[in-house]
Amino acid sequence: MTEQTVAYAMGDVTARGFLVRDEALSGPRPGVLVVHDAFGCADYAKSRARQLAGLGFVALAADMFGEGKVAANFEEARPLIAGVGGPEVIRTRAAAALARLRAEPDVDPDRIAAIGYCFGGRTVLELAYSGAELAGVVSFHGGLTVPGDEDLTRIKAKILICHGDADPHVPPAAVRACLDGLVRAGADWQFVAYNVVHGFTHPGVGDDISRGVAYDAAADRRSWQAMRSFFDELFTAPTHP
Amino acid sequence: MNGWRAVWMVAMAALLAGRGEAKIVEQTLTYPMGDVTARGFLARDDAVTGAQPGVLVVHEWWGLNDYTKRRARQLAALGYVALAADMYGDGKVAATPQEAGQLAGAVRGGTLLRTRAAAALATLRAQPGVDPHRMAAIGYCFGGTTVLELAYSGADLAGVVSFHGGLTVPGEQDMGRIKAKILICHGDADPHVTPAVVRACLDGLTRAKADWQFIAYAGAVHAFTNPDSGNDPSRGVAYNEAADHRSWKAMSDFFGEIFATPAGG
Repeated sequence: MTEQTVAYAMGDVTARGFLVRDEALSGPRPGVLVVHDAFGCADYAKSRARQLAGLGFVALAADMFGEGKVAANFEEARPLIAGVGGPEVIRTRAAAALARLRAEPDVDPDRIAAIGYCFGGRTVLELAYSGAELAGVVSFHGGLTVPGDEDLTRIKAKILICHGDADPHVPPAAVRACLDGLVRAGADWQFVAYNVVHGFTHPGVGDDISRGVAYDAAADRRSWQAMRSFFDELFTAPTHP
Repeated sequence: MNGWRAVWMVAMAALLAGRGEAKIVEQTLTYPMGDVTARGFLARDDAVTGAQPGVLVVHEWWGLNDYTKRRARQLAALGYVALAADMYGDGKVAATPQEAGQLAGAVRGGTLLRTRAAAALATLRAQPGVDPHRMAAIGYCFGGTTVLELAYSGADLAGVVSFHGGLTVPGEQDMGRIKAKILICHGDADPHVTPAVVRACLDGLTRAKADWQFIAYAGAVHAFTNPDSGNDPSRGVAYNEAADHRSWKAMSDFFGEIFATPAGG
């Protein structure tokens, strides 16, 4: 397993992503972009990238904040997220990370997916909405936005949404608005709900459900398995037959 | 049906790789169900030795027809002992939707649904070669409702899977006794199971402290797993190949979790 920090341009900011792959493998293979939560490209996002590399993918953990900035707590995270700005910037920055991953020589450019957590879940949805060349995206407890009118005919990526049914940050009305938007857009989507709250894949957020953010081992395992089965479908058949 | 062929090829390939010669044997199995006799359909792979998980399959409102039997065979090919239940008795199969509505209506509501499903489960559990601690139930449409009700009754089951089933709400007497883990595979555009019905069911499961998962598939309407449902979603009933494959995979993943050790040892 080899890991490296890779710098890439993201508008006028320099991003510092984390690239990991299993060097024992050869030949083109699928690439997976990992977009971090509110805390930036920190240990958690990197651990997911390592797991994906362990499954045989080339994984790039994107740096959406620039300069590899990370937050130690929610107070520090808030200005970093606000600093990224609206959906346009989110899409541009995610597209830069995607282009960086696609440029890796052992990445099969026709077999690329993106996954994201919380803020990163929202990011990969926006990336899909922008019409990015992707086989699929997976959102884990992500914010669920609605595709805009300009997005309605251009979504290419298949979409898997893994959601905590009791997530106070993403209420049922937001879920329905998102899914209705995806229907209008004619997107290929699947939506999975687990009986858990926000942040359910992240062991670092504790286990106090009353805070609205808590780890849940079963939902973590199940959503990871759902992602793997989704990847099996996406990557087995060529995406451009 | 390329999709079906693909499913079978995958199943057969898995068998050939894992266990040498698969030998799916099937038989009609009669069992008592109150004052009527049920005629179920049992399928298993005779090449598998040792205790295997048992999976109950509950039919659509049509009754125990060829579609249901095909699912039982598919499960047998995965290494499970599968019993397709006969919820109507005497193996009755409806020829028209009117007849199906009558047959289902006579069983739905009241306690008959649960007691008949329990009779089928007991029959499967008693089969030689079935591990009584590794049992699940799956059902389609009417059968989806049935396996939910079976879970609500507190039946000793590792899990249940509903495919485009009617989603009922557990009653007060069911709170706290649901042992089975629950996976619901739902067509998002199913006109028979509206968002309000979905929400009421999930809220009830949460109140009952059940372990549940819910999956919605884009554009899928009622009966999305059944190739005999046609391909006109505007009728509210139609086959959806992607949702069929994905929900079957979700079930396989779910079984992988609840049966822990691989099927067939």
